[in-house]
Amino acid sequence: MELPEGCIANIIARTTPKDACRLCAVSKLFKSAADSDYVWGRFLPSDVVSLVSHSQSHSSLITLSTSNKSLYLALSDSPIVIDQGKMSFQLDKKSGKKCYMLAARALTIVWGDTPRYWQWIPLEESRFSEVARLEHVWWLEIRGVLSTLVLTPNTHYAAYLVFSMEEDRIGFQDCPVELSIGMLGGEASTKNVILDPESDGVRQLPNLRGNPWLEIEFGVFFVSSTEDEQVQMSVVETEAGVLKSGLIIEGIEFRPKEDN
Amino acid sequence: MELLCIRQWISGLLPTWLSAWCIKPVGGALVRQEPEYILLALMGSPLKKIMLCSSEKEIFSVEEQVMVQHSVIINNMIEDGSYNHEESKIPLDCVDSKTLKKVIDYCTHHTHHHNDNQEDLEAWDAQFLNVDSNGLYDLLMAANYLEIRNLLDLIYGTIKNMIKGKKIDEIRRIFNIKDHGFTPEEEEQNRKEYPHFY
Repeated sequence: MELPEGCIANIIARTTPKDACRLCAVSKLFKSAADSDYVWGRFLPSDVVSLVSHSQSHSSLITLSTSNKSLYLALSDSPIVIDQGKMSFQLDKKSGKKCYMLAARALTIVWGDTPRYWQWIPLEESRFSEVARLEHVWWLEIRGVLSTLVLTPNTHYAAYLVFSMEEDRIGFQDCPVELSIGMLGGEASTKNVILDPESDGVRQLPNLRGNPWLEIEFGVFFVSSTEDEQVQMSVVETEAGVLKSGLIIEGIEFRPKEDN
Repeated sequence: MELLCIRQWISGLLPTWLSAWCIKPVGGALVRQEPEYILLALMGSPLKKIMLCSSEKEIFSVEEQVMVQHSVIINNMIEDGSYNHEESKIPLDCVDSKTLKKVIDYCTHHTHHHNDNQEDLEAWDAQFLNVDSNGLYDLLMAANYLEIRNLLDLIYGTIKNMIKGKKIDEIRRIFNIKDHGFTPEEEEQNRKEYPHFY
């Protein structure tokens, strides 16, 4: 059985990026097929060229990449900022599905434009040029919306609030915050969580995602096809009358849920 | 130009609901069916057959529509007129009789049963591909040569499932790879770096 390289490439293109890397070890012919532009072109999203060329910082990534494989690896290793700094884009390494993060600037933060409540500061650890830093509020309300058209169809996605806590934060340890997620025009699912990771108690706490950032999941949703649906998220605490301070918002991230 | 006028005239004779029906799949794309064939079929003309000749010089007669719907190569031969119905047979020197018969089976079944539900078709396909690896290889080569998109997809998918999660040594056995082509140093390096692959 001596399959020509083209047939081998067609078989490998139907596996996953992780498998394609592994199959390089089978034989020299497999390696050539597994590394081919044909295979990695199938793993990359079809609109990758237009996506990357609209990035201010990375528009030359396409021309600098020597192969589709190296482009894939570059896009899955670190995010690129697009849409005038309002979003970032990355590929999920295992599956090649699209991941996005809405920057804090792309969210609606109530009182966000009033400097004594919220400030916009640059932070070295952020991929974006600025993050939203909470001075103090009683009324915490943050909303975001994303069109599912930008995501990979036929995929279960989860949305995460990506944030950090300053050392002297107050108001988040005992006061739960309501997270909500749902499609526009549909039902929303809500839950009450604690944003302060050092809190005790039974409510859901955030996870560490890479110093200094924490993340907490809003929930999951399914991107069915190429219909333009809007998924909405909100972070709300407006009832308790508790003063809150020391929260830093990087954004809301969307990535495929495990075992897709 | 003349043919175009005749076709338009025939199209005009057909009721509109039938004209709308004149779509056929060719190699995965949908193509307008020539109205004269519809008219001939309506008039009770016998279904046109073509002759395929295997590498062992065995002749297989098969409905033209069946092969034209599935094989891009055969469809192109018929469309560009290089196939003469009266005297020609299409020589397929790289496909043996056993494989050609199977390919014809596949195309015929899928043409006549394209309205079946998905589950039944998938069950039939699974049974169809219940062959040894040599048979699978021969089918793949034939489907590749004849450019039969859906059969190719089916076989590629099957082989992908065969190798999913398997170790390198086992994949080499499946594909009968005696010489992997790496230098001893390269092979040793791979095994050291990724021992769990092997």
